[in-house]
Amino acid sequence: MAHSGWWNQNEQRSYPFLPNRLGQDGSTIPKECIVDLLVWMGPGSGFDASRDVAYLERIRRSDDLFYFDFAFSNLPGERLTFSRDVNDEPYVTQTVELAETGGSDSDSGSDSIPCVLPARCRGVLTTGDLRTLRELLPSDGQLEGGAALQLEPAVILNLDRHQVTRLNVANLDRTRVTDEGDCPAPTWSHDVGSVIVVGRCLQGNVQLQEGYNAQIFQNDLDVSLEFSAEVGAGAGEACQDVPLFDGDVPPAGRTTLDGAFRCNEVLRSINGISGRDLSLRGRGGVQIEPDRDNNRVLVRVEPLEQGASDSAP
Amino acid sequence: MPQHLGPLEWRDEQQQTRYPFAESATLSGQGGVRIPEGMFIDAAIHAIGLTGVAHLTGIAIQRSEVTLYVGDAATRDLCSVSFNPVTPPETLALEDRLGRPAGVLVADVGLLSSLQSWAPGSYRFEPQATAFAASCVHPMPEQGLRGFLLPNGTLVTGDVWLVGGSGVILRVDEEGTDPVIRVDVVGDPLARRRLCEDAELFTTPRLIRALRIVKGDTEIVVTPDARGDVQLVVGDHLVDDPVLRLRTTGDGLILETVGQS
Repeated sequence: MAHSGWWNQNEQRSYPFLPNRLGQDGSTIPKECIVDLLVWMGPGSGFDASRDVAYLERIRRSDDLFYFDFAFSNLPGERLTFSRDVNDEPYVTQTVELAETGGSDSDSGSDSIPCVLPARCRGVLTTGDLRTLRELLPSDGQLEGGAALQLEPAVILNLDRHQVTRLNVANLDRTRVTDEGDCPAPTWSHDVGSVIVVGRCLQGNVQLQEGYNAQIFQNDLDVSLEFSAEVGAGAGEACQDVPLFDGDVPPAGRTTLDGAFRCNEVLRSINGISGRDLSLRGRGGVQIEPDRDNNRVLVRVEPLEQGASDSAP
Repeated sequence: MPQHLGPLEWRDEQQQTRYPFAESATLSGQGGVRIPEGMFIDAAIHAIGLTGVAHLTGIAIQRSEVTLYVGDAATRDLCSVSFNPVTPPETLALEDRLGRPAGVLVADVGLLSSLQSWAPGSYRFEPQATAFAASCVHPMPEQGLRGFLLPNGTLVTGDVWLVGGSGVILRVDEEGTDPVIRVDVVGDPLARRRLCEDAELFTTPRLIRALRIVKGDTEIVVTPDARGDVQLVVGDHLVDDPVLRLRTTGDGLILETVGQS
């Protein structure tokens, strides 16, 4: 469709704007200065064609350059700006884009690895005859556009939510011992209780690997991945605590990463007898006396006198 | 008679043609219905997965809702848009079955509202009737990782986070230039604390970690073995029949002396 006849026609009408918007109803922007435009809204643009609009906000002149500023209701405060030399011939085409922000994975610890993200917005503009514009803006200044100079909806391709732009990996913090009744709580040498980022901006051929007790099934038929847990699957059972991040260490005085005691650090039974309450009884010459104030059990052993009889307490 | 001194505005010009449909489009559908020229003024179709000739595949008329379907021969309902025919919008935003933008149809609201007069039902259109002009169709091959579709039907796109939840640890390793995400399922030994702590239903147990044996000024700390057990034994094993005896019962221990002094 981009032939000179098409552009010639558009020099005399509002296209690519809505009908009857240029050169009339208070607009001083000449019809012939813009003859064609196509805008791609990128995957992270948040554009909604049933609600959002794009429009020419203004045309500015600074020295020998004209600037065409396009605004979008879904990207407040941001402008897609094309530039032209004031002496440019008709039908110059230029592509510009609004880069996605936050495009690095510096949070992962590997500083300044570039994170290539698709532009939030990209446009191709063809300008027409700029002579009238030169007359209207003989020196620095601007012609106001505004929301009335809305683009035709069909010149906007909305690719919002069309792809995964980057993959990030994090873990919720492990459940940690926070208190022990009247005893002091364990203290860690690092922050606890937050989401821990372990990788940002993963791109390219990302691979998934089965770790401890993990199974990953790939179904090529319906293009699905299924994750499941099974003891001993994948890399087998873990022999020790798996750290969440480099520097994930036990709290002071403990040996586990979550601060809990290991099995051999807690008295669970005496002579193989366990349970919530373990009874101690003395018979014959043995007396067992509680000393509650001192958390002690006193065991007295006094051999039986002749003729004495057993009596269980 | 009015005379045009220059080209008509774009929309006025298109209302006199079949555009955005192909010039050869008959605009006639199943049941003898016909889409009036000028009902649709412009279109931009970019549905993901569109492989054949894009066309308006069907119109479903209900009491207070009209649904337009756009697709190809392989998938007739690749994308759609619904609206109230009493107050139709000028810009019809198409969405595919996963809720992704799939294009727009620009319509004449007056002609579009005439769909109210169609009898309720579904009307099918074949490619030769409603194929879109090539310049309205932007091929969008379904390649690369476009999104994660969750079991509940939610599509996750854009800046995606994979987060290891309770008992699951995700790690990132680099093998060459390709990132590797390792999934470890290690469980949560303190799951009961996690589940009950917020509801204040969990009290940290006061655990016994060792026995302190005190005799006079002597103090011995006995810690449990690998199974958490402590063995108490009595007497001097060099004696065949020690006076002090220790017996286990079902719920505890009995210490006793036997014999006479």
